[in-house]
Amino acid sequence: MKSLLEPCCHLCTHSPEHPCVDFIICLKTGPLCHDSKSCQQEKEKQKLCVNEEAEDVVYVTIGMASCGLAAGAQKVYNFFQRQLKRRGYQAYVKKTGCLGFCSEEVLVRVKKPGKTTVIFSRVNVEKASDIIDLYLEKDILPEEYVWGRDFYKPGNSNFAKGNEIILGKQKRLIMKNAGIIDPTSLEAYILQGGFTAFNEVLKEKDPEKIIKTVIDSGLRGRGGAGFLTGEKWRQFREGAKPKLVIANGHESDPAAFTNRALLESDPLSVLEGLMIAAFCGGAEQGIIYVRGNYDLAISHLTQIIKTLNQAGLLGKNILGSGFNFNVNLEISPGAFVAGEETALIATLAGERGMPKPRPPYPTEMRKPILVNNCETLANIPAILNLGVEKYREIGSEKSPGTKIFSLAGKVRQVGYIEVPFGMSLREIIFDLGGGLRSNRPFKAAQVGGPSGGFLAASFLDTPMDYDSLEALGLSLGSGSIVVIDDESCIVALNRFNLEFMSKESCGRCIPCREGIYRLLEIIDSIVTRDNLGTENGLKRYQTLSQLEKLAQVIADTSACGLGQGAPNPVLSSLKFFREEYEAHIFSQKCPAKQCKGLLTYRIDADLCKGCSVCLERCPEGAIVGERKHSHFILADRCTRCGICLEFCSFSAIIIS
Amino acid sequence: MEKKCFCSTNPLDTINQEFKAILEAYPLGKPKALIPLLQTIQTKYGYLPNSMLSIVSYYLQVPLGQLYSIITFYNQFRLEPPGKIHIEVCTGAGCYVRGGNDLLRTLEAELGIRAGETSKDKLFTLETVSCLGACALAPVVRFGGTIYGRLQPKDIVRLLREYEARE
Repeated sequence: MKSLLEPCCHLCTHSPEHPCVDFIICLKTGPLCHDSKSCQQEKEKQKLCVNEEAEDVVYVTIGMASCGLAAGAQKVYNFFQRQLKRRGYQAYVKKTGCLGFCSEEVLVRVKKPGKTTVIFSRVNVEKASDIIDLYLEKDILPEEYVWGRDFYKPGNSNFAKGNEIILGKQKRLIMKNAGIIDPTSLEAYILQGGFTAFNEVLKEKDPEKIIKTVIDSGLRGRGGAGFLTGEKWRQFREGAKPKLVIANGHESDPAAFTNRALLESDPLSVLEGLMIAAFCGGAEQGIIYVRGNYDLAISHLTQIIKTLNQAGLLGKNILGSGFNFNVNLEISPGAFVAGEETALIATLAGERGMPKPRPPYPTEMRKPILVNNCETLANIPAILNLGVEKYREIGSEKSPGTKIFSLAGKVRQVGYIEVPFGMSLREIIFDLGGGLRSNRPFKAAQVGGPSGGFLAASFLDTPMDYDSLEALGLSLGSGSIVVIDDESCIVALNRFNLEFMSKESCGRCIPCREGIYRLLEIIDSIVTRDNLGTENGLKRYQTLSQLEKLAQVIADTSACGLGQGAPNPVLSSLKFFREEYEAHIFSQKCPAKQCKGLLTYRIDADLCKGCSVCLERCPEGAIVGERKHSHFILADRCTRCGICLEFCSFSAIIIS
Repeated sequence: MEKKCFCSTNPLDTINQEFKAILEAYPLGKPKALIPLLQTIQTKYGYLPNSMLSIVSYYLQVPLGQLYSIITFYNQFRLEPPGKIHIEVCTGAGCYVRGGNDLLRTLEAELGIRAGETSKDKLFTLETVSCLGACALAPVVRFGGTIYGRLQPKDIVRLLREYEARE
């Protein structure tokens, strides 16, 4: 069948060279310019197909974002395609993005003619074979595989009723298409209401009004700093040409995957936002900047930019409005700090990605550049479609709208969620995240990545928005939430954060370059054992005040957000988990048994069967003993690598 | 000021056709094209060979010293040829709290190399990445493009042996 993007007959004249003003509306309700029954019928048929409603066709849609692929979605996809073809089904096997329930992947949505849609979770090839044998062939639904029903009604409202339990208190405003439509299909995006906002913007030709709408909506940059997007746009518009707009998808916070989810599952919403930003600012050139190891996002974007060019939605004289705009995809070569806007610009110029002091802001430069986070841009079509008033009803007073959070760590439901600003951390972790895995007690949540901070259990009711977190000295960052339980040591986790930050410091300013290393040294000194009588033993007592002082100096004197944010985890954990530091320093104990330097390994003589597995495995030769007799660990040789613990089948290795 | 090269030969004449084709896709003397050019070279050859870098430096008019400062700044670039199998251990926070660091330590001990290095037999290159997008399967390791999740140090040793046996 022809694609909806192709002309219906010779009367349709739309092409990139001769754009039709009504292309978007015509695609949805057309044909508009001529009255032809056959064209109308064909369009209807195509629409039914995109919306998974055609009769006598089986639709199998598989979640194939990187979480799905890691869980084996490609095999399931190939299996369905091969089997359905072999068995002579008239079937479409489609790909979609991530629904946000990464731990349930591979998710497969099956729509049988005349039946409601069913979603199966954790599908592998065996389950897929059962689904075909039982559900498709014999019409018996294998209940134990079913995860959701009637979840999505294609073509009209987003989520069918009754799915509140699965979606919980989420509000899908930006991610409404994610995991539902084929992320590379332009027609599916348009049929879901995409490009309506862009079309309106082009028709009204009133950039000032759009900018005012964005200002009124109170939209704040989702990259972390929370600057008012509308203000940034206004500044950018005032600058001289040539201008450049950049969608920043350089997400290198090691626990955040919100931009990844967005770019893998609904990249068109980001592009639509970017196009509106360019139109309002008067830019003709745009860049979408993506992290290098987001392979799938890169391939989706490459494909989509090509489709948009072919459909005449990018290029010269877009939809006959006189607006010219081109988008290039640029791939980031890495480096955490290169996601900061001035560093990002330096990278694009082929330099080291080091931040520059602001002001001047990139929007005020001689050649103004507007850098917006991908998530911020995806908000723009949503705002214009909803209207300011309705948008502001969502979220809190000073942080309107929704925020995508990525939930990782010891939480049960790992994945992304989209919730209105102001929802409490408790609701996010316990209602939407399903609580902690294996029901261990909640200890803390690290919010905002390595430059965010920790929230202890007593702060679970903190509303998650920019201002409430700022009041606690934390930042929302890119929206990552890493949940930890009592098995994780705060000091060790901080060591991990600082190690990451020390590697990623660009080296321009001294507080960050040297200070983070010193913080790391201090932490290192408290996670190793000292004889209290020695000089080092005495120095331990100073570490706590040194840590606090140095962290504060780094936060106060660093030039960019990386340095200013790097001590945040240290400062916040000192505030909430001081006793844990004290246990490390004074009693030389790690309550979570994670800091190897403070642990002693020994072998329980009664449990040890003398199998010698540990003796052979020990890389340091620290285990001695004879076969069939209890073994012994030499404490001064043991590096506490834990390999013996892994290999002991009798749980005879005791840590204390 | 006009830049002159005093060498008797044009460096561009000494290179093979394949490399020349890569270079010529980018504008001569525009440092802006540096990073995409380096990315293309690395995708093609797996690393940035020393001999090519001096040509790149000449072609884009970027001093070699500056070129190195840029290459070593970004995580993506590699100056040594990689091993046959690429092992990437996720050290994102999501994997860390579920034991990603233990996997890295086990691999380092088993292979006798540190993260970022290649084993002596040129079979494995061990690297760390921050987030592979499979946090639900944490801790994860990517072995030559395939993601393995929910791993214990024990499993990783087994996996390593499997890959070794296959080669």
